[in-house]
Amino acid sequence: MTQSAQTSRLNNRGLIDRSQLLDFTFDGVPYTGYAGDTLASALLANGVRLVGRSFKYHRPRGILTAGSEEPNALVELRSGARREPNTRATVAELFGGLEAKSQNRFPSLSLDLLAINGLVSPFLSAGFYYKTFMWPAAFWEKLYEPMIRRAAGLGRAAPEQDPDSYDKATAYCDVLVVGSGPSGLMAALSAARAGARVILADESFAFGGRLLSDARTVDGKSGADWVASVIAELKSFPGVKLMSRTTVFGAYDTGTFGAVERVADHVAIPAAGVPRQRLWRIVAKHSVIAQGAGERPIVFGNNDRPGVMLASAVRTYINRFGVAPGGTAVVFSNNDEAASTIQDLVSAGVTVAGLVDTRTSLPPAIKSLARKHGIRVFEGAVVADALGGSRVTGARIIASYGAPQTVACDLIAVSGGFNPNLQVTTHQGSRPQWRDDLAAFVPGALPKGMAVSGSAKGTYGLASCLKEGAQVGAAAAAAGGFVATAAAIPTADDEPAEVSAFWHVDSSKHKAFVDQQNDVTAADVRLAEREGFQSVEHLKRYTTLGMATDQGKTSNINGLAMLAALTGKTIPATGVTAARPPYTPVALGALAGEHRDKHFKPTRLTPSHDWAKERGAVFIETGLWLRAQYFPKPGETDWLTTVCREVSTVRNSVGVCDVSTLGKIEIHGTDAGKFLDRVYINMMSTLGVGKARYGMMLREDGIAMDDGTAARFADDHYFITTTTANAIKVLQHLEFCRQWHWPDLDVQIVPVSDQWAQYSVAGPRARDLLAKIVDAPFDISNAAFPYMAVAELTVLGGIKARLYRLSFSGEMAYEIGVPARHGDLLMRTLMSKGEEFGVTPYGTEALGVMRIEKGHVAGPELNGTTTCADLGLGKMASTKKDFVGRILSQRPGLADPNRPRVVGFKPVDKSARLRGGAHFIAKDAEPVAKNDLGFMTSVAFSPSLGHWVGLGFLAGAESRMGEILRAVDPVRNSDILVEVVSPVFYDGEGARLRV
Amino acid sequence: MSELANDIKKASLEASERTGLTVTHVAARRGARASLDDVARAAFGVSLPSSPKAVEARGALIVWTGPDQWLIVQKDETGRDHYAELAKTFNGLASLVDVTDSRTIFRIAASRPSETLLRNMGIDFHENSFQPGDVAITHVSHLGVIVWRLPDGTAYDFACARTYSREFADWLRKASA
Repeated sequence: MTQSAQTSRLNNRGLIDRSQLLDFTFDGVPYTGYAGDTLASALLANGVRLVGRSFKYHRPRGILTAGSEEPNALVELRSGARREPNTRATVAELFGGLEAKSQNRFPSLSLDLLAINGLVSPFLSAGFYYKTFMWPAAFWEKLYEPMIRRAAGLGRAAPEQDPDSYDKATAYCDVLVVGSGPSGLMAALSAARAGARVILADESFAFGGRLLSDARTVDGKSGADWVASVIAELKSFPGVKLMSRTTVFGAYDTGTFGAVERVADHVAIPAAGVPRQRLWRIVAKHSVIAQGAGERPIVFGNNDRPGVMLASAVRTYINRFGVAPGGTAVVFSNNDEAASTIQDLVSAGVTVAGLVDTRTSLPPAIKSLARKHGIRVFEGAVVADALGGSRVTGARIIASYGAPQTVACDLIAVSGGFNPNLQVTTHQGSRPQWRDDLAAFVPGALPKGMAVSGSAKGTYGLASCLKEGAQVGAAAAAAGGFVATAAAIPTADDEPAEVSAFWHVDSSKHKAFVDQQNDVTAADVRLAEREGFQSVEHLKRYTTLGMATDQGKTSNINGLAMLAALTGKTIPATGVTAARPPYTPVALGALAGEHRDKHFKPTRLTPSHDWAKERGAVFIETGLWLRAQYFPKPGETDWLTTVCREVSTVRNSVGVCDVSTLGKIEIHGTDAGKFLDRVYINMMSTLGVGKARYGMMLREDGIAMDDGTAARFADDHYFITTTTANAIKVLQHLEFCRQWHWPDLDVQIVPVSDQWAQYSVAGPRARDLLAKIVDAPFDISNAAFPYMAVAELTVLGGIKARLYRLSFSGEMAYEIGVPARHGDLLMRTLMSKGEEFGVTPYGTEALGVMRIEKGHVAGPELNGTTTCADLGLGKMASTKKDFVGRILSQRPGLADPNRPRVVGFKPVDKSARLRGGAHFIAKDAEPVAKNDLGFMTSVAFSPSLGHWVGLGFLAGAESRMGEILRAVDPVRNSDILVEVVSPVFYDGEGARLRV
Repeated sequence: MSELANDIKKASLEASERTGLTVTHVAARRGARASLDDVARAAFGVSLPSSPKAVEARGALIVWTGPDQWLIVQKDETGRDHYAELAKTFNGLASLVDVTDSRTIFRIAASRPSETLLRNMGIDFHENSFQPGDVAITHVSHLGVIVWRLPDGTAYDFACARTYSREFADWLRKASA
């Protein structure tokens, strides 16, 4: 049942759509509102004033503002996985079925037991975290922090994964206009009429800014009607993009802006395929920042009570939403906008019980307005305290003379002047400048291509804003090369906007809040100053003033003005904290966009992927690649059984493995050989055409970078391979060497990793199998095509191919490459033609087992800390030439003969399992770090030998051959004896390679 | 690649995977740029572009891909080995590599791309900025891609690494949803 029927809704007023009644709940209580409402306006329409509890003291809080600067009215929206904490009710667009809840209260909003914090507030002053919970230190993590987190804080994150999707997009334009108030609209219009590509972005769901909130006339029309006519014209230009519900949150280099578009925040569940939010990167040749100005409150006692509201917000609720935010109001102000507030309140039928102005002499116009409506005027006066608990019941007013007086009211409309919303103008480092006449900071030097217009610049008054917008918009278009003239200025008046700086009532009896979101009081600011935190940045960190979701939009200036008064400095000398992006909160989901789960990074598939999938392969992610790890046969339930079968088949017959993931690079040019000599430690220029050679590259610092093979197809044509992991790194390295170190060499580098499907065909029957696919007259015999030979040929009746007699497995083996589109066919053909030999496909596991059996180093050994000598490849380094990394590899630390070197290990008890990562300790030594001799890097069960084998780095390796050591793995509780052996466990002479 | 074609079909995109092509990477040998250009003009009637442009050249498309580097895209013809012919034509003046299988080329046949495609590209894809014959080397959703607009303005080609082509098709489908 609906609780109340929008008792505070005004008849015939507001820009809401009364034909669309929307149901929603707040803390489980059903209410109604209209399309065009925010949650805040709908709650106010239903007479709901209390909407939350404060961060630290759990004080009752209401709605202070009508915009994104709201510090108090933070609520949880929706439920379950879509539960979304800390949403400002003032910007949450109402939709049918919206579930909203208050947060940070126990057990309920009206009765919050933690409000007792208010009574112990002397212990919760500024910096209390640092002072109170110091001892014993061990209690911090277990007790204090969890306790504080439970008692203080904001809403709760949803426990489940966000079910919605997020999107990222880019837009380019000649002129970006941020903000669609009077100034922004005129800027967009002038630029659009000149033919520029224009983006107009506004954070609200409706364009118009203050023209929707203030009862003003433009060109004889209501503000809203004039806005509608401008929007209609803007829509008629094909080059104009209108983006409502879009907050431009940051300005970055060279005219790039970040913006978040709330695509589907205003519906319960986004439609299929529609993202919840979209993150925009907007690249603008020129930009016009017209984000308006935010009103600041005045700091007085109990100024956080529900019913204390910014005067501009009061006008917004009346004019835009048709809601009376109170029945009897007191207006507390230091500037001329009070007149508009009084007029709007009176016209909405709200009794104005008093105008309290800090100025001692009010302009006659305001006085006569007050007189006309019978409003009591308090000049040179302040509201010292609001009265009431969970709702304002009155104001205690102190004038410059006479005793304090109490005036009954349920609404205090407060205005301390306006702060231009200049945050975005400072994101690239410019500092705002203070203007005494406005009592506000205005934008300082602007980044190239950026202009500011309207009240964001400190230009107040409707007519002035319209005029300035037209000029700035035309100038932005003209700067982009368009013939532009300022749009004709519509008729409007400038409202009086005189202000007299006033920040803080010091005669308050009650807590006076500077930062309502963080419960920072005037007393906290005084305390921080006394304790030496006299810079605004220190004040912020110590008291938390200006932090959290509102980033101090209603508190920073008051805070620093108070600090200036306390330190005796001027406001410009005190300065202002730096505003950094984002301007308003941005959900992490929007920043991540579609890059989550499997889309976090792309997946690369090998040419035989589809075939391997059909074959039931188990896949493993290796970097971006998805590779077949092993191919279980029916009945094989244990991976080790499968892998042992694959290894045995290769060793006894033939197997095929997709090695297309290796990096492949074409090196061409008359200086190709010379170039490779300089990047490999060994000589490549002497390699004969039709031959391949193993090679090793070092980083500049002398550490081993990567290994692979180089094949020579012509004098000026090499083809090199890299490890899978380093394919891109090596390519970058080679390009760097080519372009930067030796631009004089005639070398061209082309990456071709994706061009070739490359399969290893290994085992004693490899030649027999390949003989069935190579086209005549290619002679594949051992004599014609010996170990380390390479050739270009055709296979399967005319497919261009390359054949390499290389072996990683230790068996007689080949690698065969065909253009990737033929990879699937080649694999299927090898399998069918190999049936008679019992051919097996093998995956990365068997590949790994065989390389460990052969003592070949790989990723675990090429780990970025090891040298060639460490890897047992020191002798490969040529002494006849220079190469990248040579000099630094001779540093004493790297050339130390006592560095751990790669050796092999086998368990003394042949049934024992070796563990990668185990540390080697002398047999009788204690297993502590100082006795550490090295560690195991790679282990495998060797089906060829029938026991585990391992590779590892061992200090003093050469003198320890045959020694028995402990291999201690404290992580997995393993401590076994191992024997130090040669790293080559299988066919030490390499006889099997050459048959 | 049938799965790809299927993906695209499901998205009812005006996109197709281009097949029946030979793509040759041509990189000028050091100091041979001018002579190479002479030979190219004789063979194709046009100069090799020296800025990010794609030019039509007697049935072939020459796409700039970097300083002194191009892709030459040719439709396969029975009995002809385009790569071998080019290698002969440019012998000694350029390094040639057959990269037909290095990339998958998607074509969106449209005089201008859809609004969603526009906003999903990291570059300014607006028709006034990305004109017929323009080339961009950019990235999309973590994937490197070379984009060119056909010199006659009738279509856009997207060349992405072959092993990423399913990811790219997936992106294309989402971007066009």
